[in-house]
Amino acid sequence: MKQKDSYKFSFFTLIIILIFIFFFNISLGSVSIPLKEIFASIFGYSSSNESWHYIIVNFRVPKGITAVLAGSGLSISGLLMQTLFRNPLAGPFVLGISSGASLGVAVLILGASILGGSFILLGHNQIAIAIAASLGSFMVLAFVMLLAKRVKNTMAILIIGLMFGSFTAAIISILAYFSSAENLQQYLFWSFGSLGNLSWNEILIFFIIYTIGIILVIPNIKSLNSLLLGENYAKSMGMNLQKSRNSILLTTSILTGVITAFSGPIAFIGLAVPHITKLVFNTSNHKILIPAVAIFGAIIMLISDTIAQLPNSEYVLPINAITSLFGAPVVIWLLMRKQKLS
Amino acid sequence: MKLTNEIIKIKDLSIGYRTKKDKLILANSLNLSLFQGELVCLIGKNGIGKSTLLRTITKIQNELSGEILIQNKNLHHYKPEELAKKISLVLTERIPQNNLTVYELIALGRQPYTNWIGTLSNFDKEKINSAIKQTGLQDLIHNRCDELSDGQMQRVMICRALSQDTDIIILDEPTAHLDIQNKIEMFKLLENLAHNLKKTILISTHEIQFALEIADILWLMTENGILQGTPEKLIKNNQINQLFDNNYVYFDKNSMHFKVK
Repeated sequence: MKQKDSYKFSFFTLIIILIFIFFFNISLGSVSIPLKEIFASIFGYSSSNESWHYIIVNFRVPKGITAVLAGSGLSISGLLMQTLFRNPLAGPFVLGISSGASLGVAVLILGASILGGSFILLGHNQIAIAIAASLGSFMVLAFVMLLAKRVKNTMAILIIGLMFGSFTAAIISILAYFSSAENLQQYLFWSFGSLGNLSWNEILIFFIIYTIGIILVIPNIKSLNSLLLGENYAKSMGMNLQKSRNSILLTTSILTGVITAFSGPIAFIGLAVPHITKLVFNTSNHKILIPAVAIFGAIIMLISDTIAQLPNSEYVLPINAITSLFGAPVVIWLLMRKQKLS
Repeated sequence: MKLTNEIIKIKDLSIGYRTKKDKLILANSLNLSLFQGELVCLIGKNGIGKSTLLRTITKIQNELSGEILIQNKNLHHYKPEELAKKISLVLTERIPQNNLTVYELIALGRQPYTNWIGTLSNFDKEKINSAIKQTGLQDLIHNRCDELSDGQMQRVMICRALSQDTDIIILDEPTAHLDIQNKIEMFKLLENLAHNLKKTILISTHEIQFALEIADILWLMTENGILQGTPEKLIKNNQINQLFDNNYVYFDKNSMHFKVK
């Protein structure tokens, strides 16, 4: 019982930190706006300065929400993959699921200049991009799963995922070679990753699909916990392996797909956040881990975004650069730690 | 007391591996029975197919032909969750690295009984606590699994199987990696579970000496199939000598030990 209370306390603290960082994130940007005005705008009072109000309501708040959705969703996807593959280095990015999403989007945007016609219109449609990204990530995931059935060694599956990443990159560069400069630029900007630029309508769609993904995660909690003992034990405890596996993969591809569609391929969050969370919470129980990972992911994404926008300067760095700067050392540290253990 | 309650019946079973073109048969036309409260030791040399047989009985792998009946119902007619209420497992494979405590790991044994999100009821907790008592793990329940010794970990895995509350517990080489004291304790524990809790226990082992002393029934696996019988019977009609297919080792009936010629 004592343990449960301490989890409650940790969750309470984390949520306070999340709220604080959310407002901190909104309060900073290329234009400096007084704190009082920010709160006034958020809570619906008319601001003394129209453009400040506009920036906050139509730019900074949507960006903050996108960061929370993307950070938490990617982190949950990463946790799911790490438990399913029983590999600490698994994640949507490493397993090539993000590459799959990229391929889907590349075919849509870059393919537009080759195929022409109605494709061009689709390329500018956020929903079409979302569908293409989801399809792409699901295809790669299904492919990885198919191979995973034959290859028992999880390290090999990981390498297959990485190889698929290279393969995808090759196809994308071929597509890029034949596509128009305008489409290429559109794709390139998408691939940098960006939390901004979403309208409230797009956020609504993002939020709905994200919520579907999150709801689908919950029935998997029990089988995720059985999987902690390995597939054979999980089966012996009554888990329907095929069904659970498919359900976990479907959930992951929905979450990764929609996030990649709306904010581009964001690296390392899905891989690194579950590890940081496990260090802090020191548990393997997914009932605790999933909400914890979601909050941590949101916090780290907001911090990354705060750094990326270089407060009070007119420059904004690609979000991918920041998450990689923070994520790559975590992966190296993980490998070093594993070396010590074995 | 005479045991008559037949828990597992194996009819004309053929086990092995199926590849695309071929099948590799490890054993043919096996006919075996297991009764409630029996401790059965499966013995045989390396590579003879002991693990394959256990994996087939536990549905980890499919049989090539024949039938396995668990309480008069075909193994494949059970839903995964129903089967999990009949058979629990202790495997040789190490569990993946994790942050579970001993209690959490044992509680996972209740999965076939818990609701969709895995909440433990008071009844579940009672079962877990009695399993912990049976295996004498009271002092370890708050430890982390990765801090345990091999002997402790094996005990925890048996406790988890016990909390799964099944009539049948199947263990693949439960005494591998253990020192002699832990081996003795492990066999004593299994004997206690079979005879006092009326569990049906099937283990594969290379500890022939312990198996001879403790098992109710031996399954002696050879290239020609499985010889089933009490240790006394297998010794009496010299079948026990078939365990080794060379002439350097023989079983000495006077000392009840294997001896090197």
